[in-house]
Amino acid sequence: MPDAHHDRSLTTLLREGLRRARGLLVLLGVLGLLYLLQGVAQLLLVAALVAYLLSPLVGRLQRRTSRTQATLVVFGLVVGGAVALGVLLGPVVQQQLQDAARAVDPDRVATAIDRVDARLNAFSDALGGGEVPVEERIDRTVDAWTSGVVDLAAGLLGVATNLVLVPFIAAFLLRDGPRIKRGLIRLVPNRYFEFSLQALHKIDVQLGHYFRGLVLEIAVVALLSIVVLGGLEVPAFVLIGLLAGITTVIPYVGSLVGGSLGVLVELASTGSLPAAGLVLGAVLAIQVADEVVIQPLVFARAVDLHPLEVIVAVLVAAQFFGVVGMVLAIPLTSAAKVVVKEGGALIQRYQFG
Amino acid sequence: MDSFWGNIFRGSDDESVYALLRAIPLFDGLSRGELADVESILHRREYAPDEVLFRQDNPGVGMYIIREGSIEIVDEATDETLAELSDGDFFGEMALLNETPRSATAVARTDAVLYGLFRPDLLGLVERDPSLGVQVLLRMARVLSERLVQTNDTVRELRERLHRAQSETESSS
Repeated sequence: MPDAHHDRSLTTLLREGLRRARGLLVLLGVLGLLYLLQGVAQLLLVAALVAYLLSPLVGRLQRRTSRTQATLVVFGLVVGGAVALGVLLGPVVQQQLQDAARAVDPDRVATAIDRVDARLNAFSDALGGGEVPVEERIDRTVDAWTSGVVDLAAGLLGVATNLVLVPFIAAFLLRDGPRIKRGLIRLVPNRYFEFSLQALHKIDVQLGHYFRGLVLEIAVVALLSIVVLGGLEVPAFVLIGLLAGITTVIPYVGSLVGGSLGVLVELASTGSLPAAGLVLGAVLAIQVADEVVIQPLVFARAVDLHPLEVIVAVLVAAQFFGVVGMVLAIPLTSAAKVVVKEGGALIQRYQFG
Repeated sequence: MDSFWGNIFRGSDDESVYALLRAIPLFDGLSRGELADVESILHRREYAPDEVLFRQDNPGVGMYIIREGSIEIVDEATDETLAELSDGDFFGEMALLNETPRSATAVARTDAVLYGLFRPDLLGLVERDPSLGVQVLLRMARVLSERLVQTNDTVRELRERLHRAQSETESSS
């Protein structure tokens, strides 16, 4: 009997070892593949994000129909909504762009730049400093932007392909998401299975709240920007407001980056520095409102992060990982906090073995 | 992926899972479509002999249904075997309702294949399909109330024994 028990233990050990090796190989294979195919990985990431955002809608519809039909209905609604929004806003944006193009006078921009150049040089002279080459720098920046736009044109074909591919992949991820998730959980060793299931569930809940919070923030900032810029009669205020909303995913400077286009357009159309300064003030105010009121309210409630934690996380991530770090700061901090908080509490309560 | 091949080779495996679920009081009387919804949230797990499914006092996450194999439920404090469960049996259903610690340890005694139904997935099902969720929860309430009746009977019997033992002790002294 002891021999039989010994043989069984050996078999168990061998089987456990093989299972772990298999899991590790699959994980390494997936990571290697993602590294080799970074473009595909980015596509998958975007598609996964779209699928993740739409998943609750599909879940709600699924009670009346199959998941495939629910996915098709949700995608139909999203595409229809996008087309309807395009039809509704398209002419307005187009009209505003035409008005802006008519209003923009290159001479006014040149005059304004000359004035800024002269004032800064006078100020610099008064302080005993050297010449401030504003005009030269602006020329260089414009050149860089122009060549950037030309380079971008070559990539537009790729963007168009992605516009088709991302929804296609997202639709499959959305339909098969639960199965894929179950398939991945199957790879977790039995010893950590229940723990992983609970931890993943808690992370899922928190990240779901975060992404819904992000969509809410984008909508609020876009609406606020459109109203404020519209009130200031900035040309193409709808497009600039939407851009300010979208760029708000970058914490701290997001809506400022998008809204600064409004400052340039105002400057180019009126040539008035005070008017452009007013728009800059409004954009700054929106950015401050986003940072101080909207973000802490939305994310502190959604991710259960203290507003101070949000600010520190974004600052630290920006310090070490730049813009990408800033964009990912909140979800990663949220996930890390959940893992540390829930995982720590769970680990103390679990016996592995 | 899974569903692609699953759609092509769907058949006998699903049927046997449905048969397994129908035999369990929590899911009896559910339609085929409802069983398919329940099946979609089950996790299939395989265990080797002597492998622990969960430990006593660990937080409970959900229940297991034994498809094949033998599972021993052990009280670690006394090292006493509380139950030997086999094909078609289920256990751990109380953990579906709240995160109470496991009252015993579950160990596979043979190679075993089990289906796990866990609280996060059940809550998702309730949210997605309240009608089906209520049906499952009602059946669960029925199973738990039956267990409560059994436990009450056992407690009553033990009390009677205790009283008898106390009476015998008092009369002998």
